[in-house]
Amino acid sequence: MARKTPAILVLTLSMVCLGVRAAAGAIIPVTTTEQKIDGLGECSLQEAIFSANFDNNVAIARYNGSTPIEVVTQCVPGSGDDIIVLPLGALMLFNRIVDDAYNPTGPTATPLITSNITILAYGATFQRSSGNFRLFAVGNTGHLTIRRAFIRGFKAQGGSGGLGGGGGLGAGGAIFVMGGTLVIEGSTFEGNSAYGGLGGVGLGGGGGGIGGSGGSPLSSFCSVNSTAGGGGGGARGDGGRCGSPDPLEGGGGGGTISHARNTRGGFDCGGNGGYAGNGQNAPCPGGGGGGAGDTLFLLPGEDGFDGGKGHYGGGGGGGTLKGDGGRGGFGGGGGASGYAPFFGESGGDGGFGGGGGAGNDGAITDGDGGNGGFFAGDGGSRGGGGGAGLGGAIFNEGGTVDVRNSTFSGNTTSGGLSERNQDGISGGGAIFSVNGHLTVLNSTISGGLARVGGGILVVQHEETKPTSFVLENTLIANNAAGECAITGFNMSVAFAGNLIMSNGDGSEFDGRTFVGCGGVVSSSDPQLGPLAYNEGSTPTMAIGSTSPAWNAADPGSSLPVDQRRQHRPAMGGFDIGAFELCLEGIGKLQAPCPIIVGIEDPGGGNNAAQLTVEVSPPGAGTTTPAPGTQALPLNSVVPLAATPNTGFRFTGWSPNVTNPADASTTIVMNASQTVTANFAPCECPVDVTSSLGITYGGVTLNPMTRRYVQTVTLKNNSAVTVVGPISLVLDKLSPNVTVYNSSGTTALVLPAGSPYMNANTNLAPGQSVALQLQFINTGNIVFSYDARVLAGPGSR
Amino acid sequence: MAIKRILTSAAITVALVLVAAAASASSFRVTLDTSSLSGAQTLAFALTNFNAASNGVALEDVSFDGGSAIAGSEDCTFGGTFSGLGCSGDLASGVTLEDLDPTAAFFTQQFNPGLSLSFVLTATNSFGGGVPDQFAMALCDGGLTTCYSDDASGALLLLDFSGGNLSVSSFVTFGASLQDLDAPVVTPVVDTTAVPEPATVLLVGCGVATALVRRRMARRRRS
Repeated sequence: MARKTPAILVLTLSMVCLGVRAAAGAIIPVTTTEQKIDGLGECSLQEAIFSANFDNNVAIARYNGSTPIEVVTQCVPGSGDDIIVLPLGALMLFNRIVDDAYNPTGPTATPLITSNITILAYGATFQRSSGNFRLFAVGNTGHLTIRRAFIRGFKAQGGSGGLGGGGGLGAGGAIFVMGGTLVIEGSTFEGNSAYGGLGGVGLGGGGGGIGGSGGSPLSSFCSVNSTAGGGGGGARGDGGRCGSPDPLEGGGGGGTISHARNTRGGFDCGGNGGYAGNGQNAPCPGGGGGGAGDTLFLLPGEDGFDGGKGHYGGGGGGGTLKGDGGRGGFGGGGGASGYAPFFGESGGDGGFGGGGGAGNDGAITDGDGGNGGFFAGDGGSRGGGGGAGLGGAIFNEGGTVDVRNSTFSGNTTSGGLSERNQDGISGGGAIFSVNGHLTVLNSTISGGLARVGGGILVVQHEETKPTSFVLENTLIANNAAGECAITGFNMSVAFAGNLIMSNGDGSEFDGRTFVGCGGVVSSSDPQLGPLAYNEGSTPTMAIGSTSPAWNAADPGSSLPVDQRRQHRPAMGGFDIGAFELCLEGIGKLQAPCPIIVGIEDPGGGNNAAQLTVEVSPPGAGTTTPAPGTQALPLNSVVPLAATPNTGFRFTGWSPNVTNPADASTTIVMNASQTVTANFAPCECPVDVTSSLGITYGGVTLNPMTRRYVQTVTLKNNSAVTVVGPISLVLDKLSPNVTVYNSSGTTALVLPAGSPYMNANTNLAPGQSVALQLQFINTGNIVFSYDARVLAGPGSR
Repeated sequence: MAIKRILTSAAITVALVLVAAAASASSFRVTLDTSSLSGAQTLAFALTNFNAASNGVALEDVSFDGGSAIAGSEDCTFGGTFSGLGCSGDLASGVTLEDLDPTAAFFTQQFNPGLSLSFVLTATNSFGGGVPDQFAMALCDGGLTTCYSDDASGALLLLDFSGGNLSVSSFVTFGASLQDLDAPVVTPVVDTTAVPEPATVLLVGCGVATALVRRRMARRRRS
């Protein structure tokens, strides 16, 4: 028995090392478009990814200090290689970052992908509504496949350097691949962006991280005697500002979730600031280095204290008198040197893509600015370099990226500015790949913006790192000049059947020569149409029969269908790009060929289920989908919406939907289903939320009553009078928080159970009314709610 | 050696003062007539953190006009309600509040009232959308059982951090009828630009010259 154990262990390790994964997996339906991790009601995308990563229906809702708060979700538990199914054609809006201590790549809307996950989007749109973050990050052990998604408007922003700190790398506006595998099929990326961080001006500041900004040694809130260095920015958290309350202590480095708390590194991985000593190096990926402690006096031969090194974060700033700035880790800017009146000291070097930190010119000798990392600006006298901006849509570091039948439109990058020294440079407007493997087949890339590689930039940064690039039957046009560029030592390449209008031309940037991509069969304008739904579930850019891309692709390497599932070849040959032109008929009667996609169920088959939608009583309301019967893929998720006609109210769906009480819900088609939207006659108030402007005042804690008080102002932005009484309804109010002075809770106008407050007034056009809410919040948490406004007589 | 240390220290201090002076912020003087009060009172400052943007408030130059702060009564946790993160100082040396606690930085300290209470408030004004961070000042009795305000917030002064430039009109103030307190008066504090005095420049020059002379003497000794 004792001899068998090592054999099992070896077998297990071999399977892990070879990436062998369990064949069976779970189908995890996402049943809400809401961005949430709370275990309540429905299964969100974030909760579904946790379910797949953990092979269990649990998720980390947040952290209490360093302790993860786990919740049991309503998602199907994951099991091996999982498939996440999104609601058909859903619009998923993202406005916040998920708390993920193990994600060193910076602000991301979803948990780091660490297992084998396939996301079947069925034409869903992922869109950023506010804030700076990307959509997905794929970790070393992760394998993410995305099919038929429209990903738009996500933004990665490198952290700014503190006083003199280098700017951090901004990378992967939509997706960051950190050593894992990403497969993109039939998807569209539009308007995603990556911006390098700004280089700071001054001395002693921490370098910017890949998301968090470097701290500064001085602010209006610090003692003027504090001359300790600021902490480096972490993956997400900012470095500590200064040595307050003790001026001898350097600022802590930012962490993967939180900012540094003065001298303590942020959670997780932020290095602590030094106390009359060097700043601590970041202990794990995603942390910024701690700032150096202060020293007011030096004995002969003594050095000052240095900032700590970042790890996927910025370096800490140096302390006063001969303190060097810390080096940035991957993506992090270098910290600035400390103040030194006579003999200048050096700024820290930036990591890959991170700007160099500022040096200090002393009265007798000058210190050196830190060197910027790849495409990042060098630091100089009292000025940090700007960070690089790389990969507007996708950034690949050492992983494998495979893009097929996909469209990239208007994805952009921008290097971070430096007020006193070198700006960062931008590269790879759509895709940037370094020390990894990139394959792009039958795709269209247009409107990209970057200084080098307006469409694609592939870099072998170290000679020993295996790097490959396959580009076949791909259309790259109307991007910034040098649309496709590569640089390396022994990179493996394969090119065929490409149209590239303005290829890389051997220009030199940052000490490297960037040559163009091969396999070019045309460099003429392909006459691309605008990004539009040209049939298919995701937008594409059409070509006409006069386009040089028409019938010009390599037949041997073309894919059998296009992004919309139109079969190739059509009209006598294979087209370059993601769109295969197919017209039938003659002359003015010519029209696009109908695309028969068929039923694609998540299991890879053609199994259908029948959905029948009914309204009761007939004519009382409308539904989406409209009443009737249709065939849909088995195990797909279908969004449902019910709207009452005048004189009726919605009373609920039949119980087989995900949330019967919610007028907007979903149904999982695990079998043929009949759903009924039920309505009842009533004298109902009208939802006037879209006609009003809602302004939220700050929240006050009354020290005497211990109640939280907030004033909310409603302004009539419409041209007609809103007839009262007017009710401000607080849907989805945080658990354990109640409204002390509510007028009641909703019962008839769903969702039920929401507190509301009345204003017994009419609102003329342009008129406002202020409501003062008092909350009982014994847990003293930051609470939130969704506001809805009802107007008119009748029960709520 | 002692001279070198002193000169070096002096040079650093001058440089830091200059840097600090260059970082201007919006400052206002808040004045409240407290002549109607008697006995120990509690002054409370709060910075609630309901917004992703970072904000901070510095409260300095606190004056009681015949009254005094009660040393040792300062509290940054509101009786253990909050972590104390982002809150430091006292009414004698000044108070700083930063939005490091997830919910609020909350400061309280007792004082004996004089004719009036005044302080200088310096604040940032960052806003990330949604519900703004907010600064509040409240005046309560010594046991925090009654707070003096005509508003349900219990505060005499509120300041929402909604972005843009702060002005006097950014403040919302309330009186307290039962205690016969008028609303606080807010006036702007004009920024001044620091210009180094001739003596300061001379001091820095002395430091540089001393270093150069010592370096040259050391080289001569080595040669």
